[in-house]
Amino acid sequence: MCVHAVQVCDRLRGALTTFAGTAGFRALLSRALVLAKAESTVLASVQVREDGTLAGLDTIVEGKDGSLPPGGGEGAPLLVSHLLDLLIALIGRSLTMRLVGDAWPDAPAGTWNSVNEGTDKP
Amino acid sequence: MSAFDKVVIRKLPTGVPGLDEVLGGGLPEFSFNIIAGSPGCGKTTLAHQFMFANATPEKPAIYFTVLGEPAIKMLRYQQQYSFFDQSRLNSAIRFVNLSELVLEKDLDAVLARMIQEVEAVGPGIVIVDSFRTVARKSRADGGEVELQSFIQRLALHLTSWQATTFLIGEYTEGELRDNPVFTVADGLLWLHQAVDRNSIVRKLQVVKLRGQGSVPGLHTFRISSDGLQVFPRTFGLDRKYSEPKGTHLLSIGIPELDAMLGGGIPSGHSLLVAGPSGAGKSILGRQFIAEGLRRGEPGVVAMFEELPDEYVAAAKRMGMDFETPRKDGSLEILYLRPLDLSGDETVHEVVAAVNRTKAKRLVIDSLVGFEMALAPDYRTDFRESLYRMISALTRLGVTIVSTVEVEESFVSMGLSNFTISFLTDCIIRMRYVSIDGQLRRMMMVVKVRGGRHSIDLREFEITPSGFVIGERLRGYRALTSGIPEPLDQGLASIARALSERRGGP
Repeated sequence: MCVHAVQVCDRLRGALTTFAGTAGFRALLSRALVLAKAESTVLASVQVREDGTLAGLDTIVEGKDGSLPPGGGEGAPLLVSHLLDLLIALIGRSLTMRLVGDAWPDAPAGTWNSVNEGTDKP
Repeated sequence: MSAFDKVVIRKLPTGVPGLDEVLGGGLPEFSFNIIAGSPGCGKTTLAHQFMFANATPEKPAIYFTVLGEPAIKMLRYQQQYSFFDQSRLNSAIRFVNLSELVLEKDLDAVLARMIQEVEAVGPGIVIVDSFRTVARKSRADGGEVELQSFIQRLALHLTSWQATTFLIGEYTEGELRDNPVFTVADGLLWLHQAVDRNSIVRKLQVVKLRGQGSVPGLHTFRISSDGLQVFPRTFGLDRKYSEPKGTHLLSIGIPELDAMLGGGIPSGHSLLVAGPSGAGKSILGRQFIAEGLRRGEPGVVAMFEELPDEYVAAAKRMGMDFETPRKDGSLEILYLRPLDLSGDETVHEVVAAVNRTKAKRLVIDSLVGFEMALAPDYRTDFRESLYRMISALTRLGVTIVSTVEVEESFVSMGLSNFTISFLTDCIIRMRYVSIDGQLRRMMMVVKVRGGRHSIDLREFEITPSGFVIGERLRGYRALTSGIPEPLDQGLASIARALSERRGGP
């Protein structure tokens, strides 16, 4: 589950870097990480690299044996959630979902509709 | 080469109201263009309007962002405009960030990436925002020739790929010379923005446009929640049908005044009513409109000093019903009093109302208010704007009555403080005269172009039902000074005899 959340982050990096540039994506992810760290200590060692990828994931992804460190399951989803919230706050829910949709071009039609029904954060 | 051999260049709509007219019908397809100007003057917004007006999933737009406004911020703000259609993002409009590439690599790498994107997507529109940063980077590396080569190859490639291109840049007018990008460009749109006292004055100029005639000069524009709107100096009337002037006479609704004018105002003429405050200029305008409505001629009133509801209420008190024609669309009352208006913008409002109502009569009340509604910088162009408006509207057969307040002097009689009497075909002058311990009203027809008119100085009163024009004022000299003196009875009888010998009344 947590590996998936990290993969989501990576997919988003691909889509958002085209549009916002590596520096733009890195800035957004760094901010999201700071917000997520304030809520979960398991992210303490996680960092954003220059190219926008994540480093220090040992505490939030499953080991080879499939086990997670205590509390590790919440880290990556929290980070993705803050990244999306940040995008929504900046460019609105509708545009965010369009950009996110670009990361999953093969997603079935209507995948994003339910997500799109929420309201933008002020 | 016959006309049939010529390539037909399609003109693309810009999506900017008024700009197509300035460009001579639209922007040439596959052209390589520059939008230049200072920060905050609307370059990016203009490019977005063009993009949203033309991009389709079949011929999408690629918007390259380069070290200018960050893409996230650009989207955050641009989506506020009414033309921004989110559903077009990614399907018809793609944003590509080249910032890192420009910083880290040379122009060849930037060009290669752009070509890669263009060849992958096959766009109809390509925008580079801001191109200035690309050029700066090249100059910093000492690559003037490299920059020229880059621009040349970019233009060649994008035109070959049938893309209409915009390079956006913050340039100053001094950079127009010796800049390779301006040489290569097919079109150059320059956006000017200046602060004048408390007002922002924005103007657009088509400095260059290959292959078609554009309207020269500076055109004012405004940025609102709908984006840019340009107000062409031609007011959209240049190519319209012209009616011959003076084919018939229009009644003002005051028979004695019609007679003084030689039967009425010749159609398509402009009448200036000049006089001091409270003389009755606005009432004359109301009667002119009311008479037109009575005869089935739609009208427009452009107000600068009074609110429309007040105007309608004042008309009602004199027995004129302006409510019904306002509702049925045969009368439009415009209140034009926001600050920072340009003359051309105001005129566009008036021309649009004339077109909507198919007006035959227009009242501008007053020219003093018109001038005061303009931003200070635009006031210098006031007479020019007025001249172009009156020329354009009267060519369409609209008959115009304008009022102007004249500062009253008791030693002379001016026609207007604006030196605008040359704009008008007919002039009526009202003034106060001091007679027998009373301040009475007097009017005269000073000019009717190409027609005979009365030369009488007539007393008039304003009654609850409108103008009542009295007899010619006799027995006084120096009436036009406002402080006449009674003529000696002997001299008066001689004057009367001379007048009768000349065939006068």
